Amino acid sequence: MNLDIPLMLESIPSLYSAAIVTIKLTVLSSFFGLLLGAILSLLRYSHSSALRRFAATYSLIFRGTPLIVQLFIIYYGLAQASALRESPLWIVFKDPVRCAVIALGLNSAAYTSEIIRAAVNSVPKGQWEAAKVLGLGQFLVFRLVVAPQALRFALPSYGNEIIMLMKGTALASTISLFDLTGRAKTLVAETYAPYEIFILVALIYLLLGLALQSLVKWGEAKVRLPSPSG
Amino acid sequence: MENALAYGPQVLQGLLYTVLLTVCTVPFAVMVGVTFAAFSLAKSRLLNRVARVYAGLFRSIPELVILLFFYYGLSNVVSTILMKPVEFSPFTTGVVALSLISGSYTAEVLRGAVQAVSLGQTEAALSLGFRPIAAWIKIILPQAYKMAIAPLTNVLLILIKDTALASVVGIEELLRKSSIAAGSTHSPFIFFGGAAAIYLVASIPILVWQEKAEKKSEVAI
Amino acid sequence: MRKAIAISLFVCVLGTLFSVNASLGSDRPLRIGVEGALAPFNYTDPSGKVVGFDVELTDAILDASGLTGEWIRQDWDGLIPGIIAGKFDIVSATVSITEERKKRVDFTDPLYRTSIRFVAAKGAFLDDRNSTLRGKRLGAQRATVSSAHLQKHYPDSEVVLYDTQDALRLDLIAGRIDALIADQIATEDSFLKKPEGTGYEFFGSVIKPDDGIGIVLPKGHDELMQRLNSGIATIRSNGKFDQISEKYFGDTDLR
Repeated sequence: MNLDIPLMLESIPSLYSAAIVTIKLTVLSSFFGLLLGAILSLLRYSHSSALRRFAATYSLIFRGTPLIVQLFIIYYGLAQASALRESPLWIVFKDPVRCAVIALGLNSAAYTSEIIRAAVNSVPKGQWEAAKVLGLGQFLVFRLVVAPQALRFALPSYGNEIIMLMKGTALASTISLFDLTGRAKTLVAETYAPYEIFILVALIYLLLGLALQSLVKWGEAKVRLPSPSG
Repeated sequence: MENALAYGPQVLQGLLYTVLLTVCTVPFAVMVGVTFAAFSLAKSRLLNRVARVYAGLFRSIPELVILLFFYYGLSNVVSTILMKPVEFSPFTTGVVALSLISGSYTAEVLRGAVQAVSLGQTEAALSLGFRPIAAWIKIILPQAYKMAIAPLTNVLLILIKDTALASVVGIEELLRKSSIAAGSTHSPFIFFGGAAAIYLVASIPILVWQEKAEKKSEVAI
Repeated sequence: MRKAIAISLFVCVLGTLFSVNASLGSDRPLRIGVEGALAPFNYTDPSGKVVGFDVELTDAILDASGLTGEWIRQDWDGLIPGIIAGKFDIVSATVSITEERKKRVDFTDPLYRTSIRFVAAKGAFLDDRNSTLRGKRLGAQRATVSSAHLQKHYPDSEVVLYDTQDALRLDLIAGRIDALIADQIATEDSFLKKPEGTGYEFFGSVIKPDDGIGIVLPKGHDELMQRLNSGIATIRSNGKFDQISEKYFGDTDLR
């Protein structure tokens, strides 16, 4: 198997701009996912059982179906409804980038809400009571006692979730976006050199993944407690 | 040709492939996972590094790209190594790629579980006179197994969903059959919605079971 | 129960291991790559079989050449890379013969000719000049002569590429693209003639972007090429080609 190295070098500039799309999708949808995920996890602790059930069902549906199916439904499926096409919401759904961010964000929100919930649950209940006894209000208990510990617990899994999200952006190529995978498929169609292009693309994803992993490691080190036993 | 119902049997046949693919991948994924978890826990630096590179590769590269890679490359690479032409069926290619993807998650979970248990416990067991292997089998693994159960079901759920991408290697699984039907009948909503419902129905028992398992482990702690 | 699970897993493992096609004998049926999503040329019927003009034509050619084949469905943009990677022995899926493709794969003699044409909402555009379509979103299926046409001749428009014809048409209906360009016959047959296509029409010139449609082979398979070409000559002279062509296209001559 001989690789066409000049072809690989020629492809780098167009893959570079595609990598920017991949990064943009990852950043936007992780932001959206975190926001929505935080709201969903709050609903999980709501006093209303309807809200609790809504959040749980949401999480079940988005975690129980493949992302690519969610993407197809949101992009191709919803556009079938002329009611949506004639509504002001169509400005959002007409644009493939926004659709991709919505689908990826909605999906990520389900996982993020589970991560936040598990993290908050990991703090022993006794601490809430102990802090209350010391005279702290509920918000302050959360802010000063629970949140720092939960963050420490959640960060590794949240890091995994962001990497999963980054990988999920590859599916955006199926809704006409020129992200890394979309650009790669088009380059293969122009050059008929599948090995060269996909090796290159895999390397770029790997670099992005490694960058994210070291970002998470850096974050973990930031919030780590000084180790008592050294 | 326009009748959506006529495509029902095809969609069900796709479901059969999704199930077969999942069931056949699980044992291989476990084997791969155990092997690489052992590598990353081994005392050899070389093995540690091999395990790290493997995890880094399969955790960073999108499943779609990995599957494409195996579709184009697996037969060629194996043929070059064996020095005779070998052709893998789409199903084999799918199982190999998915096992390696799923195996990387399995390895991470197992490694994490063992490390969570063994802090200090190995030493305690050794000082009580256990031999290293006995300490592993009698003390570490039973506890690690309990800890790993919930995250392993997560790996299984991810695997089920990853099978939806296996059409790129030529396997006509549930999503593929659904898109063919959606295209032929021009009813994307019915078929993609239907596929989503089927995946959900398949995943719900696992999700519910997982929640129960998590509750149990909370009690145990 | 546990034993049953263990045994079935074991069977699965064995089955997977032995599903490797170790033998690549010479008399096995040819693996024919096809998209199966371009009616009436090649498409999938409700029972899951690939049918259509390409299929009947190719089966007749193989028959006349003393060959047999099995049809394997693959995404359109995976067909020619699939030939290069050795996934198929031939591809017959309305593949245009172009200079770019000839650098990487071989083609048989042309089987028939088709044309491509723009489609948009009725009255949206009067012609397909570059200036008319400037700044518009134009769609095509990835890796086709249509997408190459857009990329070559419409640098001032936004070119949007899709994996399938279905996705392309869905987005024209949704209004996410202003016009699409695709095979004329296929678009007429499975879009313009259908209820969802009533508001749309062809516009601009009829474009013949290629040297005809051929069967694709990997580079250097000269013996297979000769057999296929003689098969093509046979069905042209013995009336089989006309018979199949008439079944699908009536009086329209695709030669």
